Amino acid sequence: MKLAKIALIAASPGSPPPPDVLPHPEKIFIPLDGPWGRAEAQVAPGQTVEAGAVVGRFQDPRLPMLRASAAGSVEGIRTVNTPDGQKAQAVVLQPLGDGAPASQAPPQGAAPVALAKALTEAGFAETDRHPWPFPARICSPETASEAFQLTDAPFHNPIETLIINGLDRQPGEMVRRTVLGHLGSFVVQAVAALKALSQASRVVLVYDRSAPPGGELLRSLQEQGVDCRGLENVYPSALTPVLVQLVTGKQVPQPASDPRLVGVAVIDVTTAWQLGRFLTDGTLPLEILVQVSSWKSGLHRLYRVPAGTPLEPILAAANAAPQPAKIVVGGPLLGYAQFDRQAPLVASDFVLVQQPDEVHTYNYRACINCGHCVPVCPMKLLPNELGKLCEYGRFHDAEAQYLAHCIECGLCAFVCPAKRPMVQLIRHGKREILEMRKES
Amino acid sequence: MKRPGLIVSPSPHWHSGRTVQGMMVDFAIALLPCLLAGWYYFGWNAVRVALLCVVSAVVAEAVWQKALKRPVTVSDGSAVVAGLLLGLILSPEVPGWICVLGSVTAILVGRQLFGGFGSNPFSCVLVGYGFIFISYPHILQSFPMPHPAFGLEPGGYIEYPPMDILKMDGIQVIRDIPWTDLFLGNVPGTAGTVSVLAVLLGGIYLIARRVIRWPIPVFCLAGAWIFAAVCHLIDPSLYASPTFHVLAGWVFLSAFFLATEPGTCPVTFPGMVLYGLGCGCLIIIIRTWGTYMEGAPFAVLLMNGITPLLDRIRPRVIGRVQESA
Ligand code: SF4
Ligand code: SF4
Repeated sequence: MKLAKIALIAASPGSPPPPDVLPHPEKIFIPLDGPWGRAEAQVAPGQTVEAGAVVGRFQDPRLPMLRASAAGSVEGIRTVNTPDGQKAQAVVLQPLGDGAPASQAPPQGAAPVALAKALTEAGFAETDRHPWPFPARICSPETASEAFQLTDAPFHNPIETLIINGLDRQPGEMVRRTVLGHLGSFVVQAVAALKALSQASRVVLVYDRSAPPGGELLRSLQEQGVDCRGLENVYPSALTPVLVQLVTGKQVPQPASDPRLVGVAVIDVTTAWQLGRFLTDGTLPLEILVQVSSWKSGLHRLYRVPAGTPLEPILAAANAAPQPAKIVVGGPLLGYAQFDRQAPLVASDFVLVQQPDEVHTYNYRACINCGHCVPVCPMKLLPNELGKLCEYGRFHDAEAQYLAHCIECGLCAFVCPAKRPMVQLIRHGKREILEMRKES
Repeated sequence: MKRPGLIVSPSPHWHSGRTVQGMMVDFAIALLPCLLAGWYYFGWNAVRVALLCVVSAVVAEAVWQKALKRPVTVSDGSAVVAGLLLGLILSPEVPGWICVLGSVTAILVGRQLFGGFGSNPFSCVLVGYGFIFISYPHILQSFPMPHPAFGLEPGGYIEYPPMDILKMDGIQVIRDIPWTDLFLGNVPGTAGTVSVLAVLLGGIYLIARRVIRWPIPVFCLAGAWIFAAVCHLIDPSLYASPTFHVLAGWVFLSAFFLATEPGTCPVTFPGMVLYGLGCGCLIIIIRTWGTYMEGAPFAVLLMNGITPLLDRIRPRVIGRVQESA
């Protein structure tokens, strides 16, 4: 599979510097709403909680516990704006001092079922748009059925290949490079558990060829039987369907976009880091890695902060731009523009700060049929036609041309010289089709 | 302290910086070598024709859009490029009114009637050219002899463009034209079509800047060469050599500049390959068996017409469920 190369802005040559640890923020928000509905709050206002205490619990015991990422007193429960633009109920914590990260005794032994349950208890929640959180997502069929009662497709598919993704997802990002560069020893610690959980015959770690991890790390991974592969980091090679195809040659069926259907599971290296750390000394997965960048001022900072830290203190520490025009969480091509500086970050992420002249505006002009968008589409769609069909309301025709296969990578909009809002048109079409289905 | 609000918009939040205007600037830069070649061989007349075409194309577009109360898009430069290209395929000897007539037809009939730049199914430059060619063939077919401004001796072997010679005088005469003259452009003809070297410089620039994609020009040249080679192999006394065919006349200009006009050519790889090959073969077919001296303009227009069909050849979409079973 060949990807079209686009201009990449190297965040910094070589490996990034080690991340700084920030003092605890004034407030931490732990959202109770998420992809699985609402968790029940387990704390009351005024109560003091330990670091790692359970603050929210889903009715379904197969879903991860929500835990306090710092010791503190519960100020209340109120509605917050999440970085993806949703509203959520959240437990508001006032941290008391800068305590050590929360930990508990690590699980002993590696019996997969017990391990899977322990990880869910601990609060591992990586989803990657998958309906199930990380421990369930990478379990072998036996473990999935015993620990989570998941027996239907795709969970009855055995996992052949487990991919640990150490490639940064978007241009300018260096979160995953940082993990491999500075926290890699924990990733090694996670391998045995990942193998036990997934029973995968092959574990592949993918890293950025331009910033390879140290030789010692690679050696210890190889000793554990991990196949380490350096890939050229060309966007969108780190997006799951593309990554799976690059590593295994298999196409992930769309629009389900679940690699499990072809016997592959993918976990992010940031999760592998948290997992290895938990297994080593019991540190709960409540610390996240946040990158703040401003391309205009050439600033790149990495911080380790408690999960649930709002944007404001992180931006203040980075001193990125006093008056940013746009704050994007999730990177330049996939991210969400923020309107609320108090939005809490719950997973490792990339925050891009743009100044007024960096803000890109779209043109609502006609497609000039130049075809630049066609060779860049990783799904081999014809974005020019999809854009036009969605624009003129011909949603069924667009669907027949595999509109649903679009992974919204944004490359067609990135290259379009007419500056058409390609992804917006495509999303509009997808939405309309969903609504039409609901009505009928 | 109240801080200014934040801008909110859906992703992506970043753009390559490529614009229509930028593409047109690149096109204009790529045509400069041709313009220079025109000046070098035919003097200021060639430049005058090109400038006149540019000005009338721009004015035509502006007046039309103003009259229709549409946004005036002159600043994107597409009319400049269309005018320039038309000026380069007209003989440097044409009178001014021909330039104006050609550009106005190209812009209004060839482009604006279809909705503007990129929406026209047929190359607008060739529509304008075709119109004046059919209306005033005699005016369009008188060509000056080359008089290089410095350096080279005038190519004195022929008095008409090589394609006319081939048609009228037969294959024996063209054997005497040195290929270096064809390559450098030291033959009678038009500013844009005589010099393969100039077109090649501009074409390579366009491909390097990714304004046009390589399959169309490459397969157009290959198609023309292979088709002519097959004919030549069958009967060398009847059909000219393939290298002559490719170097002489419009083939290079068509491959790089005329066949690649946005909107008129296919966008998928297999489509582009077939389109290129089709253009190349048709050029030779029309040259060999048609009544026109030069087959290129009509070959490209014909292939423009087939583009919607070629665009139906789609690449296999990634992730179709049947394939992954
Ligand atoms: S956003 Fe969709 S259509 Fe556009 S390039 Fe990406 S996958 Fe293709
Ligand atoms: S890049 Fe933009 S203008 Fe060009 S074909 Fe695609 S949608 Fe149309």
